[in-house]
Amino acid sequence: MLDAAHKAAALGPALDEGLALAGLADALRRARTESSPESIHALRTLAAKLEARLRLCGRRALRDDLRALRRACAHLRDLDACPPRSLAEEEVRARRTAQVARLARDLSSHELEALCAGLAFVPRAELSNLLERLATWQRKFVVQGRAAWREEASIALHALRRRARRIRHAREWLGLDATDFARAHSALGRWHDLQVSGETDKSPLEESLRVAKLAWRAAAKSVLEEGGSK
Amino acid sequence: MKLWLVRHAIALEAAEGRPDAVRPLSERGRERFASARRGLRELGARFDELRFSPLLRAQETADLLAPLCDGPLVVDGGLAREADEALLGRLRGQSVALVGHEPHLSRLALWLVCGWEALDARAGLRLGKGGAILLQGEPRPGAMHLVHLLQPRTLRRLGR
Repeated sequence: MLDAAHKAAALGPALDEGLALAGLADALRRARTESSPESIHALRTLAAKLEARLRLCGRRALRDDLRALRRACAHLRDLDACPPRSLAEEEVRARRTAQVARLARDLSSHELEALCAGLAFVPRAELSNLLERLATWQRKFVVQGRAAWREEASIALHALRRRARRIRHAREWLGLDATDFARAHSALGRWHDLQVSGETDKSPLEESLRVAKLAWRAAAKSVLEEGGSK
Repeated sequence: MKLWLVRHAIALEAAEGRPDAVRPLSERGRERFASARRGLRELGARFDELRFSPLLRAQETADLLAPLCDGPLVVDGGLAREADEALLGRLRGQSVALVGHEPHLSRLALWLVCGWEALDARAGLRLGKGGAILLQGEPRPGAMHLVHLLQPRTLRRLGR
């Protein structure tokens, strides 16, 4: 377990970045004006990071708004990441145009202005509380990961992916090494993208899914073996 | 619709380096509001949606009230100022809670119960910190009726 007292000085600068508020306003502006795959991905990722930070701070308020923002970006992001292979390029473009228009409406909502304002008022949290909560998350990841390892059920793996994402974002925020969790998150993400692609595109995916499962097992191995004690 | 108007719990005073918007709840405010929340639970309060002002003391009150909410917690800038029709247009569900500030909440209650004329009247309601008003009806000016005006002390007694 991390020694909060010894880590405090080193982690101070990372915590001083607070909840990266200017970042959200910028990401919103970029997504509104550009609508590029990169800007949508950046906005969605930042919303997930802020959500993880609020959760780590033990705050419920504003998390639902960030989740709504993340979900608003999700359809477009899924289309960009895994365009259905059964559709012609023009059809994919037409779908993207429709999704961009829908997202533009969502991004002009009244709540987003209030969300940016609300995030600006969230105070800095006690480091010891953050580290304690992070350790709990990691213990749960190991328990859930070992169960998922045995069962390989889609629901268990998806829940594990969400947990890996939260831990990864939390560790990155606190300036801790997040390599193992980033690898597990990415591998589970690739597997999930293939699942999404399989739902919209009925072409055979067994081989790709098999490869993705091997990748997540390889990625999660070190975390599960060390019992999340890093 | 059941509309619960909840004033934020007791917060620390503004001070140098602590502007009004970032005043957190005090320990006493948290304890008292936890007790008031039990009172609300005794009254059968459940919310489909909980909207709150972005100011920190309202965020923290919304956090404390979250166990009574079955739906999303939604930040709403309209609760940090005088209520308007746009705010009413955003209300969704059969039972909604609004966490905000005075005098906006009591003026909103008067507006919804008595209509536009009430906003010019000198008469008003007084709602203590951590208190709640329950209105019922269509969320339009003059179309709701007052069910409860619950001062914080009353809620805490109910919660004992």
